Amino acid sequence: MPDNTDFDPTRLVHLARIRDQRRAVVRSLNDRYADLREKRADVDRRLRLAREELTNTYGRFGFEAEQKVKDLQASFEALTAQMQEVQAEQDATASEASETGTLFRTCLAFAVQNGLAIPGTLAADAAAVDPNRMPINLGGAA
Amino acid sequence: MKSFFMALTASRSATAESLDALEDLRGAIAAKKLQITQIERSPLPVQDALKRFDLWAERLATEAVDALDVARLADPSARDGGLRVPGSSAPQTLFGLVLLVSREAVRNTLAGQLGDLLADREALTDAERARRVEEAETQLKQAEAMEEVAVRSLEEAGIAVSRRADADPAIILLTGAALAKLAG
Repeated sequence: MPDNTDFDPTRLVHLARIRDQRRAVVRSLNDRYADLREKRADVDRRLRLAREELTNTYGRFGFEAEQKVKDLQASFEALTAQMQEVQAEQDATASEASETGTLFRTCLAFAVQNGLAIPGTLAADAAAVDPNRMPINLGGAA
Repeated sequence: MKSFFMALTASRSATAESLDALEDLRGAIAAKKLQITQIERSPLPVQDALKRFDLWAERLATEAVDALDVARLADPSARDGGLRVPGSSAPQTLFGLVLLVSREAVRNTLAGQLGDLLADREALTDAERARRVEEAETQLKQAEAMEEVAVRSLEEAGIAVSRRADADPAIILLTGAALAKLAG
């Protein structure tokens, strides 16, 4: 059975960093998805206008209007495909972020319960685990 | 340039092997956890099960006799002069009396039933179960330590690997030296 000298509480900093990285990736994917959705809404609006324009256009100009509708339709589909890809990535990353968050909290609770010196940068997280018992080493490695 | 691509290919191959090894370890960990559950749930041997029956039968028979209020038989003031069977526990009292007079017959029947029930299953005494669980848990800890060694090694190589959300914090927070010692 390991004793307290066998543990390295600065490993918590590493775990917190991984958690933060995963969260950042999730945020970035959320932003990317929102951006794509906005672009697609814009293309959709232009597509509806182009279709209206097509129904009112004849002759040589009809060909140009038709081409415009086709191009916008292709853009709409491409953006939809990109959104689906981002969404799949979002699902996987959100799940990973949740798992790393869970593991970090479990490890932090273990460290607090066993009186390990919690790195100062994690003092706030440790306080959330057990506010009545905070063996925080504010001068510790971080 | 060619040697660079060869090195790159070799590196990719090594990474793939490390990731495969990690997956294998995780499979072994899941199997070991299942084995521990199976050991914990394995039945007691027939003789141990019958010892439990003996204790239970003894208690039920004693309670049945106590519930009858035998002193009433000798009480000249008791109106009907009979025993009293409390209505709320009459079936239990009756069963206790059955066990009192024919425990061996019931025991033999149960022994036969238990023998059939456990014929194809591995039975373990409490002591043997505790020993087997301890042994399997030691192996589990070692496998989890090997997993963490593999994860740290991949991270050091710049490859992001996720840890299991249910990984043991007592392994994850070990120093490198303690981890290596546990991993063997």
